[in-house]
Amino acid sequence: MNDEDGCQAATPATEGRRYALRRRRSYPKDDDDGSCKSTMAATADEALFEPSTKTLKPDSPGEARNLALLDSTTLESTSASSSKIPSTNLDIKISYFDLLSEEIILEIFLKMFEKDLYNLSLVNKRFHRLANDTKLWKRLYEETFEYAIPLQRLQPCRFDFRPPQRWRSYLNPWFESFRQLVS
Amino acid sequence: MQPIKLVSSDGEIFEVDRDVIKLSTTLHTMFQDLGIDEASQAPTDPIPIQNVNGAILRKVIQWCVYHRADQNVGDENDPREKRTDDIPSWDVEFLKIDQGMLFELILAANYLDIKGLLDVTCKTVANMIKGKTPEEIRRTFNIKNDFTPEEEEQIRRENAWCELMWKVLKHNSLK
Repeated sequence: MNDEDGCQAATPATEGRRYALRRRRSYPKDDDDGSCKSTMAATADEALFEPSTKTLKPDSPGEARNLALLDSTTLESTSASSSKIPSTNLDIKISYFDLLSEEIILEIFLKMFEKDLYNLSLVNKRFHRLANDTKLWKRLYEETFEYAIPLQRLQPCRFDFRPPQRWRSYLNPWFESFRQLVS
Repeated sequence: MQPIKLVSSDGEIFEVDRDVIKLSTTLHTMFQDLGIDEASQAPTDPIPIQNVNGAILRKVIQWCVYHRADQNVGDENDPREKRTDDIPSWDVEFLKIDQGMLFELILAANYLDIKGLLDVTCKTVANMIKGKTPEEIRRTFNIKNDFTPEEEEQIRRENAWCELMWKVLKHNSLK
């Protein structure tokens, strides 16, 4: 709730707040929901930028563990700990991601914000294709801006709704609209 | 209520209570289709779980036993939820396993359609990705970069807007 108002002052612009400027006013749902979404965006953001300074809450061990991994300068700790377990054969040069269907990989990618999707798209060709998935970006667009139709920028500060089927020159209207809205 | 016998792909037999089995939509639906309900006699032959070996099936059952009383964990969560820092502490401990086993658990959870387990394992992998650079992601998961330098450069150029935007955001957030 306070996030929505706070965004008007262009002070410490977290990603969530910045997007809030472009965002439709939330439905007057229960308080929990409205504030939760913004907080989540802001939290993810902090994690991306300042993992080491973030306070670790004892009630979120998952995050704590993740950040501990990020803090280590190399990723050796991850592989070192797994190498102690005999069932892993680190010599095999395949990635466990090769075992997963695209459907499952998309399930994992659905938990990402745009910055991580961008990083994923640079990993390899398969990830690039999946990280640009239309459905993935449709969901991200809807969650971020709460509109059901992609907005197109006609000129600076002027946007108009343009149904997805009319973005013919673009492979992924949702991605393109997202780009136009935030850049 | 008699337990039901499951047999893994490598022939290991497990006895599992029905309320535990219910967490697997695949098995639950199969029982319904076969007309096996709580009142009827348990099938005498063990049910083959073809795609899951004993080590993984043991892990899956262990998870289901702990979560047997949960009220539809998977359905309650908003599937669009991007939050990944809310993994219950028991599950965090449970998932301190090597990467191969984690991915096999994902496959098993998907095959047996155990939503809660699929969700928590996918979140764990998501946490291993979040905040990493493309090269760090490759190293973590042993992924080969199959882009030519030109292709990589082109993607970076096409997405220059992202990089720029994040730099601005980072700059502002550090102020």
